[in-house]
Amino acid sequence: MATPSPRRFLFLVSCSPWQPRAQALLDLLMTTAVLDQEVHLCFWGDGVLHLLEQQDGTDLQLKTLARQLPALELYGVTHVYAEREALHRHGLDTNALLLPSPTLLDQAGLRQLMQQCEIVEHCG
Amino acid sequence: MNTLFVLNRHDTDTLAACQACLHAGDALLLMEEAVYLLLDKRDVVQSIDNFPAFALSGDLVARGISAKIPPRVECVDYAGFVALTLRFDRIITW
Repeated sequence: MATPSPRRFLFLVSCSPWQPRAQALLDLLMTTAVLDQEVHLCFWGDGVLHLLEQQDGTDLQLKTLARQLPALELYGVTHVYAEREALHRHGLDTNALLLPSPTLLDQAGLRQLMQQCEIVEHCG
Repeated sequence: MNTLFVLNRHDTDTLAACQACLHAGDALLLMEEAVYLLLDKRDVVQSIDNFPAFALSGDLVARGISAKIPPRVECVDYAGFVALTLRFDRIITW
């Protein structure tokens, strides 16, 4: 039986790191990547706050989701995007992000990306 | 009657509504998601320039923004939070 070709997934994160649904989406993303699907990850709006360095929920006895992000590359997740305007709005330096060199997008770029992907999962 | 306004949401509309209620002697405490307001274009803090502003340190550290907040915002831990609640006549959470 022929192996089905991988499908193209877009995971669109527009909620901040400390929302429970952000963890759920990341779990789904990693599962998708393990199953050898093509995964694209886009941080949009408040989602760009995931890219802040030095997040640490230890004092609050919370699991720090940000610590999982650098491992995404090991799962083959290399297509990472971030909203240019949201980074600017939150005062985030593109040279000091948790994930290096995400592709910066504007609205038109996001629209194009969504059209290219077969399945879009949004966490907002 | 001096009031401590406590914000826990990352919502500039809520901040604006709260700001309209601030009077001399009042103060603002940002916690949980509201600490992200300190990142959003620094005019958020300038808009409350005449009032003492505090932020909960644990929430700042969790979100990786301890080093990014304006110097006039004072960081407090939970003990400091409790002390603030005792210093003010009433607490309003938005």
